[in-house]
Amino acid sequence: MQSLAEIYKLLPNDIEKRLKNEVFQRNEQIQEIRLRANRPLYIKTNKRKYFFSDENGAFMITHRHMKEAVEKLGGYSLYAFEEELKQGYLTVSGGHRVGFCGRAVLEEGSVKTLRQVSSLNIRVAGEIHGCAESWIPYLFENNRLCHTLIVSQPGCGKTTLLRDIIRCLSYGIGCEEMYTVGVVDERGELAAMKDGVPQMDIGPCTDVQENCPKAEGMLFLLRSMTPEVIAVDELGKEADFLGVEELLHAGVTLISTIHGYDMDGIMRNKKINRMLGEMEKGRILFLSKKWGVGSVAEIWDTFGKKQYERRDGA
Amino acid sequence: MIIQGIGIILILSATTLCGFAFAAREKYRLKELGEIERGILLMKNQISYLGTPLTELLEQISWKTGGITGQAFQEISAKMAERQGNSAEEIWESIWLRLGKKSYLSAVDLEELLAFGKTLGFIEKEQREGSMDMLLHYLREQQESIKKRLEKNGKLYYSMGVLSGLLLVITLL
Repeated sequence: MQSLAEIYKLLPNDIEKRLKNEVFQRNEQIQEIRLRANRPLYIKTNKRKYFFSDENGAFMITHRHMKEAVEKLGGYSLYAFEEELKQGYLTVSGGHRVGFCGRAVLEEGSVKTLRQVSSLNIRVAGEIHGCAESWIPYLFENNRLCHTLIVSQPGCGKTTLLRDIIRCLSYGIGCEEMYTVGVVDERGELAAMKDGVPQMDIGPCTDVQENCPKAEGMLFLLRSMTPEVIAVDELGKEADFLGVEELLHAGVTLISTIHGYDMDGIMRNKKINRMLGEMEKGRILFLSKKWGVGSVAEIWDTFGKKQYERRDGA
Repeated sequence: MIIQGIGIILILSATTLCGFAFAAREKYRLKELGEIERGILLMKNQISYLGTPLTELLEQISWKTGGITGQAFQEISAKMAERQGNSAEEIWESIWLRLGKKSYLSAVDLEELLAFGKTLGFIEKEQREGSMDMLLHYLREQQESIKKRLEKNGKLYYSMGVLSGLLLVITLL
């Protein structure tokens, strides 16, 4: 069972007390806790989705709960997280991501901050040790580590798999040597740094540039830490791809995640297509929820050749 | 005769001490208000320019301020870090209400501090800074008036203590 005390204490006291008494099945792991004003508390685990209830029936979330949860999640200092609120999410201690939804306050046409938060989604960061170990050999070609893209829809375990790939490369698990890995942890989800120390196991040879835009972070790491591998989570903006291009020209191996569904879909994306064209040797890992979080369904190379396909029963 | 002498000495020293204590109480309150002002000023600068979260900020300030202020900031920061409260206001209030009883602060001073706690951690810059300015204004005003009172009445408190003792002795004799 995962340690949930860290997350529970970020919730209003009465929710915390109730959740502490909740009994979960063996090997059941909470993936999401959702709070919606005037609606029941929702919990998603790897085995079920349900509305939380106690002896009085479904446990309803009040406006007061929402207000208190926002205060506690923001460390009672929402002013310090204005930038994150603008983006709609916040990463809390332990690397868990909290998504906010409410009424946007606009300034000159763009979102300044959020007010009257009406929904909260706490996505519990999952650290699955060893989930990448069997895939490491696929990332090599002629003993050379290939650029790797992990592709899936949200919630399939891209970040979890990426974190474990970082750990494996850093320890040298499944490889002939240990790699110096630079991680750009823009949202603090990969390493969950606390006072300069990673709370997640990302290996002994990993340097983390946290809270930094991906493009700048990649170049910063390139200049300062001479990494062999640079890992970033969720490439998306134009600037991210420009940063990647510079990285590829510098001869550093990129390992990253990206939202997508299948090979056709990502090839239709001009930015991704251009990036794949720049890669000499690359692997694209497609994840699926079908076999559990972080399970790889297909592996392709950048020439469009399928290297692996998982079938039912595999 | 000896007993009378001892009685006189006891009465005189007790009333004189009362005079001293009265003056000292004002001085200690002045000192505490000064420390709180310093703490709030540090807080204002750190929040406005660096956006430091309260937990970290209050702990840093607790090292730089003494007495009840340092202790209060330290305890609030620890409670916030442990998320032992549903709101910043709740934590701020519980600590100041407890420590306030052991301090020289007046009931009005505490009320002002508690009112400030209601706006703690607010996201709106103007509202946040406005409430800090209001508290700073109150603290400065109080310090000014105590200083004036001490200047004007400081010696009076001591002499009142001695004189009231003498009056009591003469009346009893």
